[in-house]
Amino acid sequence: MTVTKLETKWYLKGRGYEFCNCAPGCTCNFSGFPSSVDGSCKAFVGNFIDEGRCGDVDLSGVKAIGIFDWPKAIHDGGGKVVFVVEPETTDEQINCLAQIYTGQLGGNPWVILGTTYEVAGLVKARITLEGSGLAITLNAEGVGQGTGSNFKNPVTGEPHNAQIVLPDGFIWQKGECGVGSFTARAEGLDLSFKDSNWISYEFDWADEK
Amino acid sequence: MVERGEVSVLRVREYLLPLALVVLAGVGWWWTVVTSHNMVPTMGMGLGNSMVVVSLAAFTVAWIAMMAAMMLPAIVPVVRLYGRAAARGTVAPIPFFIAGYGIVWSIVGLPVFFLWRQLNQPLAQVTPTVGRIGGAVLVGAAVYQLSSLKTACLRHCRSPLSFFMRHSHNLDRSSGALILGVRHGLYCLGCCWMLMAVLVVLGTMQLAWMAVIAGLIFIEKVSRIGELVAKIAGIGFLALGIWLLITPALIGRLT
Repeated sequence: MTVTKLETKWYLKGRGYEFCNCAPGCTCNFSGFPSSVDGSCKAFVGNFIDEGRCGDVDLSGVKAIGIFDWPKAIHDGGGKVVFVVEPETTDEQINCLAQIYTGQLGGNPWVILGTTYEVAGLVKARITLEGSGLAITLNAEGVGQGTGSNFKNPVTGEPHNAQIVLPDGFIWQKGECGVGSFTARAEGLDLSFKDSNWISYEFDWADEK
Repeated sequence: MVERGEVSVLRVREYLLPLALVVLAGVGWWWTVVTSHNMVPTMGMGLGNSMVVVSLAAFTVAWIAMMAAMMLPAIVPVVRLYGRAAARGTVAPIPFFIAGYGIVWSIVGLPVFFLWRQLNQPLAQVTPTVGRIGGAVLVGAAVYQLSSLKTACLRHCRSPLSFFMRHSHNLDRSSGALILGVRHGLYCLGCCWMLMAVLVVLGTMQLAWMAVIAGLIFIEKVSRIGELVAKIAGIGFLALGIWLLITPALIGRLT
């Protein structure tokens, strides 16, 4: 049953920055259906890999952004994604990430998640992160930008911290949640959303071999 | 990377798989309709004395057909999602997953069989007691529909992606796929067991009630407003249950 490709071992650890078109608090992680107005799921997601390996290829320090566009709930599939990596990312690293993120190497969450979209393209651009905590700007030069902030206490206007803990969460287990806005345009995808979901989370993904 | 030809094959498979499940469900409906005349026309029809004694084997076939008819359309999103990975060969073939799911519901058929054998004859009489039992089960179903346990199970069923992320282990092995199918079956059972009890009380394999419950299960699991519909159904059960408790004779018109 095991396919040769699946035997490549991999793991990725780092921090994720997720902007999407749902109301703050990503309902896809709770009830499976987006809370967006049109029922679609559109997202701008950065993965900063602190430590990672795929077979012999070192992925530590690699930054990647995915621009996702699913017409309905994620599980209904039919999505498109454009990946963004920095110009100096090697072909081996790109190849590894492409295989991991499309589920071809198995392992959660990508073995299933990676089947819900087709890759529409790969763009190389400088990826930067400014700010700290939830007040940050994630920028892919000339491609897209996400800007996040804390919730504000509706009465006092002070920062209002919200953490979501999902012990069995499928993409992340502990996320810090805020309000964000993002725009992204690449390879036919054109997204622009204001004051929607923004979550910063730690990821720790690996195959099961 | 997949070639263009491969992509179109994947697309065709995407439609074939739901179609196959719906066809299987159709076979289930057909079998249920065909056999309903021989097996269980007795409920509410006053034919209690001429009841056909149904063997366990025949019951099992009928039960599985009924489960296929009612459940398969509702698990299309889950199976489709799994099927995408199966088509790529990164997880074990689909039948292992569906078999795991089927095992759970098949095993449930066993206690139902013995219960049904005991209850079928008394329930077939249109007596006030039967009306009260029906009312009580409906009220119980209403309470369950509105409970947090039902909601929790339903959320697992309604969120295929998070279900897979939370529970999949070693899906490249057939045992992993089978276990995952069993898990999904257990959540589904948690969702639907009380609906099945309603179906038994209002007439096992009574086609109209079966269609209503199957429709409800489908909407609960697949529709965006499924959770809300589950609660509305609960309130409906409550109203009907209380009505039956007050006016047990009503059962004659329901079954």
